[in-house]
Amino acid sequence: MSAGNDNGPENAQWTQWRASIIGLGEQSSRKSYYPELQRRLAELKDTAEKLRTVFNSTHDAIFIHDYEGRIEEVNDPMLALYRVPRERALEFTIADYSAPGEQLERLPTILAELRNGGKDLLFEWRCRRPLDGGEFDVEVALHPAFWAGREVGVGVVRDITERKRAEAERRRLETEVAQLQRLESIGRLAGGVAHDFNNMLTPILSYAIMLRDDLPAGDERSVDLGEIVRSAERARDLVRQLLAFARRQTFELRTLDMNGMIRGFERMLRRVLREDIDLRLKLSPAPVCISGDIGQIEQAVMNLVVNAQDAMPRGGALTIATADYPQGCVKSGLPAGPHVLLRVTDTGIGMDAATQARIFEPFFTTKGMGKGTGLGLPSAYGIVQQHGGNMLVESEPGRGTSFELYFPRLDPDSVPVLAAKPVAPVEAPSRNGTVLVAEDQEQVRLLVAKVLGRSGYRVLLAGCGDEALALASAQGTPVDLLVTDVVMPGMSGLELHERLRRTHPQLKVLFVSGYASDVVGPGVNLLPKPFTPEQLLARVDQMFGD
Amino acid sequence: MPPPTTWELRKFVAPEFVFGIDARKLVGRYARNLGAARVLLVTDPGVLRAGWSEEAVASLRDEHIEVAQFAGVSPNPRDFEVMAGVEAFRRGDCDFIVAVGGGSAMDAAKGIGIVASNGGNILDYEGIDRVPVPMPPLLCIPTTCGSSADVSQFAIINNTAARVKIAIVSKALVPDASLIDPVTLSSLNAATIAATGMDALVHAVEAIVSNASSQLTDVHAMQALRLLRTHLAVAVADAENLEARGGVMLASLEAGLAFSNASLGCVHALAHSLGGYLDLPHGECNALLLPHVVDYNFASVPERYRRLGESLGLDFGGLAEPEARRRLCDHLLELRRSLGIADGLRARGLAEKDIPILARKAINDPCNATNPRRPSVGDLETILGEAL
Repeated sequence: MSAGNDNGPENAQWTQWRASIIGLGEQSSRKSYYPELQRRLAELKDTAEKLRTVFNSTHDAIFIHDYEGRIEEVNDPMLALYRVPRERALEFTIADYSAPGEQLERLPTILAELRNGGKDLLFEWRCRRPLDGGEFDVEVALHPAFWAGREVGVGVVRDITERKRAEAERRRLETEVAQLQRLESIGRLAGGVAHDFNNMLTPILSYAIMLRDDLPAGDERSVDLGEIVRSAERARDLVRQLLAFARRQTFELRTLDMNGMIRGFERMLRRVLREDIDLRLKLSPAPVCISGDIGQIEQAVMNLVVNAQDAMPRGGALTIATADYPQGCVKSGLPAGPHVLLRVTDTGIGMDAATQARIFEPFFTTKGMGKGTGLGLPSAYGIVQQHGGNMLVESEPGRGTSFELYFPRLDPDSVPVLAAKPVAPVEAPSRNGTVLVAEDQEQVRLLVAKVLGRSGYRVLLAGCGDEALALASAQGTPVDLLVTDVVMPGMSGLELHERLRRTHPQLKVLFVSGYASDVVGPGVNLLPKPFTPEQLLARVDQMFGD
Repeated sequence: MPPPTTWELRKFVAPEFVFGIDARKLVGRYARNLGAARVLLVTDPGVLRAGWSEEAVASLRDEHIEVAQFAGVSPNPRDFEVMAGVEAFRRGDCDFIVAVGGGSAMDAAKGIGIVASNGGNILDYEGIDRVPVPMPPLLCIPTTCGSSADVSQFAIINNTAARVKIAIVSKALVPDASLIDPVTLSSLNAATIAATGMDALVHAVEAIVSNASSQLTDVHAMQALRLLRTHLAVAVADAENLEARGGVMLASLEAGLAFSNASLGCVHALAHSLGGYLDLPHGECNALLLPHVVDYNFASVPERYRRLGESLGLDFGGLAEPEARRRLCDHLLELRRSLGIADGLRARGLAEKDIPILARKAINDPCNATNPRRPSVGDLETILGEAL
């Protein structure tokens, strides 16, 4: 109350007080609560609308449900996720919104735990759209609450289909990487073993052949030596396949049209295949070219075809197809760029996932003891990999198998297709030249010396590059041919050749190698180990003839 | 035709009320019909002991109404008690208030209602017409016969910091219904009957001489005086006399209807100041001050004083004004003494030095606005001095 002077309030104030007390002031009449009520109702309505906006703006579906699983309320995102119209959403129960099966039996336990525990629950669930039956994975957060004075659960449901898919993809990639790493390490082991084996096989095979050839006709020991030669040859073939798997094959890369290669190979395949196998070719209309070793690719295809035939014991269709991906193909797992696909499909027994995971491992076979070497698919895989390609398998038990071989494509217009190099007939050579042999493996070195020396060549032997250089510079007559191992301690065969050419510009070279992923360019003369005396002599003769 | 001033605008506000024996027992029904779900029952320890609030709680619960009790009210209810009551109201999520008790409980209940609806502190609403939003429904069951808070638009709250009673005056403070039951007076002692009875008498007197009185308020005020003349002394003397105590209660009701609409005067302005300062019973303050204010006011409206004196049984014959004034003042003095309210303010702790302070506080009380004579601070000091 406003105070006036010492003598109290002013006249006007007193008059106003009096009027108010009598009940005639501006604010003196009784007031209704109704306007306040309306204001508060409007406030409540506004709050309710805001809350509803939040309720419907979540990314997640929200359910309000009782402990019998009946739905009290849902938000708009729930309608979208479960594809139900609002007027029908409450018809269904939580069970109706769940995928059938074992998880449904857990539902009463979950609800009881929520009610009695009074704590939030978080779990994954398989849901079902009640109208179209579609199923999907979600993550559910359940919160116990009160709704209109009754106990309910508030379920916040997040669609994790995409997350699940990404997880599966990640797991698949991890498996793939692990598998690749395993194959890589097995490959290194196999390659190392094969390399040493080749060095050992070379003298076994060669000396056995020479001994056999030296025996007089009718000597029965020649039969025994023949057995040694056959065994050594089988061992050589085995080692060759191991090297193929280990991607340490000696390649002769040429521009190769896959379609032409398959067509040229068709007759051979038909001879190999049983009559109950229906071979079909589905080749792309235009040529599909890669840079490849035709022999190796043919070997890979042959291995796949044999494998396919074995998978169809009661016959079936075997399809070889090629396709061109000028824009590349993500599935191939290769770097971006144009790809070529070679696909071998059978209608056989197929494989489960566990088998598929191991088929590229050497000596893993499902064919039973004694059947197959367990190297067909690994070597095909290694060949494709060594070509810079990738090999995938798709299979299901009972539904056949499809192997897809992707290669980087060569532009058919920019690279001329080279015809296979015709082998020139070799005339009888004079064999009076000088051959410098550089080989760190003593047995191989002596073998080469014996084969060439026996045939009339003059042979200089060196155990390493430096020794060879010393011999060549000390020699009065020029050296005509260098036969050198590619990989030696100290100086490599390539380096040795380069240095010798400075003093012997006309020097020819024949490289000998146990494996040759490290080797050399197209047009280089290479003799893979193990070789027979005939092979060695033929190559040397050929080089002197050129 | 009456002269134009006779028909100056007047308003008459009164709640729905039920008067008579066992009216209190209707509390459940009334609360139910007014839409109560959870009631805050405001009472004080004395009423609690007498059992009236317990009876009300039972009646409410019979109607399936939840009840929270708040009994933290003392005589001359304090601001912090009101705020504690507001807390109880909110804690109980209440939607209705029932006051069972004297003026203290009912004024506290009004204060609680104001803050429950409007927020803030009860002291924010001091003055006239300063309550913006009506309060929750209020049902009153008076258990004394003086304050008339059960029908009035007043609530008097003790501002403990300033040691002054503030008046909150608003139509929002008129209860929704009152159940006035003379049976409740049976628990009062003689002194309380005397004090509250004198309070009712002062209400009637001040309403009659108020410059805002009307013919409607006069009817009730005069009837209140006649009832008090007949019943007050008997009611004070005989606690069992329901006839007399009912008469005093009806007098209180009629005096309340009168002063709630015509307002009061200097007695109440000074009593509010004095009650806040000395924490004396309101009725007793009024009784001590009344003769001296009548003496001060008499000349302003002598005819009205003569009429009210006649209602009290005085015969002024052909007395001149000073003698008539003396007779009325003596009568009022004698009346309070006969009721046991003896001595003056000095005996109750007031000193001369307190007088200027009290007068300065009292001059701002709105009750002065309807006093027939406009007082100055000096006038109020003089009156207080005489009442020592």
